[in-house]
Amino acid sequence: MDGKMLSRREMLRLTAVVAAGASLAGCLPSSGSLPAGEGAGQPAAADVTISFMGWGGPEESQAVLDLIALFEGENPGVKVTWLHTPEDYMSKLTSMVAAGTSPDTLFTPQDYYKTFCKQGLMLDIQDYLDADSELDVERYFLQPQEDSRSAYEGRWHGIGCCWVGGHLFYNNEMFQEAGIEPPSTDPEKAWTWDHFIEVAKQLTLDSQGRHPDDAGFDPQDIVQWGIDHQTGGYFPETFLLQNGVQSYDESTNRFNFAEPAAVEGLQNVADLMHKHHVAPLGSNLKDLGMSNTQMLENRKLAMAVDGTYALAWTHKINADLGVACLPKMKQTGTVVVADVRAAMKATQHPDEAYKWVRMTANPIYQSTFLKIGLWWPNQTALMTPEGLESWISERKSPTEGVHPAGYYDLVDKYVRNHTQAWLCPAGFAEAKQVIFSALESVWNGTKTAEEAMADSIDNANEILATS
Amino acid sequence: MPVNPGWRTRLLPHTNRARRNLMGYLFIAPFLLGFLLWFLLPTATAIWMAFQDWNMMTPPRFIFLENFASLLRDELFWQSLKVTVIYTLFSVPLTMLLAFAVALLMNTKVRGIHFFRTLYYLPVVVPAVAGSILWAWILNTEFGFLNILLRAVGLPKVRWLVDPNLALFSLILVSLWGLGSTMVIYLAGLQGVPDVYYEAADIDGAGRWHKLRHITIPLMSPVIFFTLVMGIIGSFQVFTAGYLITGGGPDNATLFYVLHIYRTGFKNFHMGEAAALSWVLFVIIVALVAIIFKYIGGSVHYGGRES
Repeated sequence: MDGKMLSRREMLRLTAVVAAGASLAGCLPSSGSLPAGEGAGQPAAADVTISFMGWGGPEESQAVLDLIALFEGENPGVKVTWLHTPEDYMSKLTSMVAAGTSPDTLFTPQDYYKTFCKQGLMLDIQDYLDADSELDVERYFLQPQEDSRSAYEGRWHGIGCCWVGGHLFYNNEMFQEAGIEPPSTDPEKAWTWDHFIEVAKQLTLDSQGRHPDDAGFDPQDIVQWGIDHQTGGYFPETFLLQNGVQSYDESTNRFNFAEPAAVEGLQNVADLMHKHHVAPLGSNLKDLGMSNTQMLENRKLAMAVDGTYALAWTHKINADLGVACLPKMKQTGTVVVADVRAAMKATQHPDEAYKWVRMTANPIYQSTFLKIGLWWPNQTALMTPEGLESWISERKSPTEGVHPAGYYDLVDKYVRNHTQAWLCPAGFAEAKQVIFSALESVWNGTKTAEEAMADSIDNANEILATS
Repeated sequence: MPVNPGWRTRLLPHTNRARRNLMGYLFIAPFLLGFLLWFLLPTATAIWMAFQDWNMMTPPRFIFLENFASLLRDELFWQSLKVTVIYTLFSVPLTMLLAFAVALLMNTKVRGIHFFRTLYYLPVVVPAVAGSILWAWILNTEFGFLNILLRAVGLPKVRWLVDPNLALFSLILVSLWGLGSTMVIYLAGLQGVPDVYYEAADIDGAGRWHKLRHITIPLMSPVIFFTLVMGIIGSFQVFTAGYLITGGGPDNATLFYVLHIYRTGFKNFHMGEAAALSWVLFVIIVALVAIIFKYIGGSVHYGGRES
């Protein structure tokens, strides 16, 4: 046999080895184009393709795709590729930027937005906005909240998608049966903190039917809670706002979490769990994968403080659901948050990128999520009487309508006049982590708010200062 | 046979020996490539990165030893080191002791022993994530199974995972659930001890304790030593329970070292400092293992030859 020929056995071996090598090579990151998301249809016949990175469930993803279709119809020659990234968003985004394959446009989490602006990663869109005849920033958006969120050193680098914030949810049947007047959606009638505690006590029961102030009440054996209070995300800042203090001071670039009024606001909420015994430990519910939604439905809970978005699933419970303003310590109100839709400076097509970013400020798109109870508007046109009518559907039953009675007031008065944008300066996410870890001991009842904040505030401020 | 003037003629080596060599290289290529790409390259990158200030978003900046200096100033570095050392000090010996005891039981000749062996090994098969979530449920203060049991017999609820003084010990408890893997190694070791030693001991009138002390343990010492070293290496790299059950809290009470690395790198995006942390961990583990080999390795009994 000729020495230069391969036998069949050798050929098979070789094939196996090559196949193994190829599969290995397949694991390598592709150096060329970005992975195409669900939005990528036909190979681009267009002149310009813009990538858009974001998260969200199936509904949100579909709405983005619908908006892309609308946009591409209006802008021939521009295509948008949707990079849907529901999990581990920040790690993936930073990896892409590090690899030099930044998305052109993206959802920017509000707590990272100004950090990115400071790092020079975001496209400054102020000149585009000034030249834009339709988007009159001062009148188009809810102010001053929107400026507070979107402007970095006086210039916008993105457009907020909406607002979400905290309010009360309650099971109205439990109020009716206990003969208690439920809380209101009118900020003028917001409960005082003492009244709130009083009602929560009346709606908290141990297995023998005793309330927290009754003789023999067993806090270890509670079967019905008055209130479940969220403590994550922007809620600590909300407690400060309720007690009349700003979480962050721009002039000194320092957090105010250790101020006496701030400490008092935080402690008030911790006391609901550990002093008044009217609230379960939030971490307990979360660990169980149990939510306040189920507890409201099966009457283990009378009231819950949660975000706007919780209405998207809570409206389906089989009970008479009510919503209301947060109670006031010194004032009612909530911190409001949401991601910013922005373009990255690295984009090759800033004009088209801006066009697409401004498209996400389209009322049709925003209404999609207002209608399902996920968001509050940040566009003033959706807060006029006609605007409100266009998306609020009064909840009549678990399957009919979404928004409980009084929602109109909640948006018109509470959202408009009693909200403040989450103050997230550059370096915020990392600095807040320090505060957040320290607060765990407060929510667990092992430290007072005063101790925990005194221990952590300098570290947090140091991070802000060096970011 | 006529020579086929195709691509094979031009590309492939001409002698049998060269062809065999090529074949050999091709066969080891998948491993070598993998080793190069996913071990050597990242390792080299981590060395480089440890001297950079890099947030992944803006270009890295050479800062020489500043990452090491800043991690030494970081309270969380010391906290995570403390947490990890305490975890190791309790989890490793407890796991070894219990696994050894269970292995002795599993080495007896009773009916249904295979069933019990399977039973003790079963938790190892459960995915770490599923196991962690299960334990988070069991240890939940308000609704957890364990506290319901305690309440049923009239004892107060224990704040297993939310009390900063207890949370780490709860996780140590959870770690014992996975002792099956160590047990299997011991069991294999026990079955390798020749019966003749025990028979001789019986003739000499040795009791159970004496047989354990003078036959089983010395002959098992290489296995025990192996599990000690592997246990310590593994325990310093523990991550899952802290990440999934407690999230490092409450108040950083369960902030394991590797969880701290992960947060520094992928939550706070200080890649340089995360790389520096990784190298410090590597040095700590190497040093510990060297110490163990020096001071304990000497008393390990290798089939009649002293090491």
